[in-house]
Amino acid sequence: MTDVLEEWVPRVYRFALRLTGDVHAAEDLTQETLLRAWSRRLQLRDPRAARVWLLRIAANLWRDQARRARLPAARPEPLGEDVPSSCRPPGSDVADREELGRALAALDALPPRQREVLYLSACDGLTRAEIAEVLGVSPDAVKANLCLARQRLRRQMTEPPRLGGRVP
Amino acid sequence: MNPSPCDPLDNYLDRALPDEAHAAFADHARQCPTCRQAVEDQGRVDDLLRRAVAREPVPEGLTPRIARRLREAERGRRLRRAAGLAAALLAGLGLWGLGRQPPPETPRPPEQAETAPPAPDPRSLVDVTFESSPSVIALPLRTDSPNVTVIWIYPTADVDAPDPTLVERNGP
Repeated sequence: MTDVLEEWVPRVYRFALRLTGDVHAAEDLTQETLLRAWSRRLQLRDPRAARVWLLRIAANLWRDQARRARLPAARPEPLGEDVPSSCRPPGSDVADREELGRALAALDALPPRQREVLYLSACDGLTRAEIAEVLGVSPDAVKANLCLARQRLRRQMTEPPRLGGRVP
Repeated sequence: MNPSPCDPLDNYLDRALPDEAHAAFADHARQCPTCRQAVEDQGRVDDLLRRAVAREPVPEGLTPRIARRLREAERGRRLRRAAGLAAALLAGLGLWGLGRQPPPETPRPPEQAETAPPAPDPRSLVDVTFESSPSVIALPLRTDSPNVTVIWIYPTADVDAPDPTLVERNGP
């Protein structure tokens, strides 16, 4: 069991973090997702579908919680610092870390649906159909949100970062 | 309005084009500065996102905590199942015992009472069959009542055993 958890907990947790925008809520959601999945594991006929199945459980649990509590949409604080590009030593670890921080901040600043579809596409490698299944929306909605999210991220990541400001 | 050759950009980025159309758009993107820039930028952004997310730390202790919760849940589930099975067995044995009770004594002709066979010992007639399961041990205990046998059922399975339904890895 531990080996299975070592594999799946980080993946579920990182998706939960995108959903909730809060580390504590993401921990709780990860735990509940794995408990629910374990209790219903016999429903998983095809182990290859485990990834979509688990992420769908997480998304459904989060949607239910949000509906019950009428939680505001997650708006996590950007984790990276914005530093003008002229201050970066090119190719250094510091510059790389800063750019990764910018990317993550830009992702987390997207509207919730765009953030979720882009995360599932870019970071989890899911197809439109799989994303639609995880989020319970139509493939067309996934396509539209992906298009908007990508355009926004491309624009933000190719613009020079603003000194001391948050990613809009 | 004629479709633009740049239109399939999003389908291309989604890997949602058929092979031939995918190759055709790749050819187009090599010639079209706008599409080429978009494809290159998106590849860079996706790479940054993957690396950024992979660096996000998972809280220490989360995995062991979930493992502990799963073990507790599994233990509780097995105990509930064992208790249910035991209750069903006891109920079944009780009903069987009631069925074996001699009927209330009624006046009979003397010759009939003399020829009636003695009541059999119920303990010698109980025949309980369990489904094949390595996860429980059943221990029958006799009681003072000849019609009741208590059966303790203990769960024994190792809940740390890997679950084959979740072992196989899928995707990147």
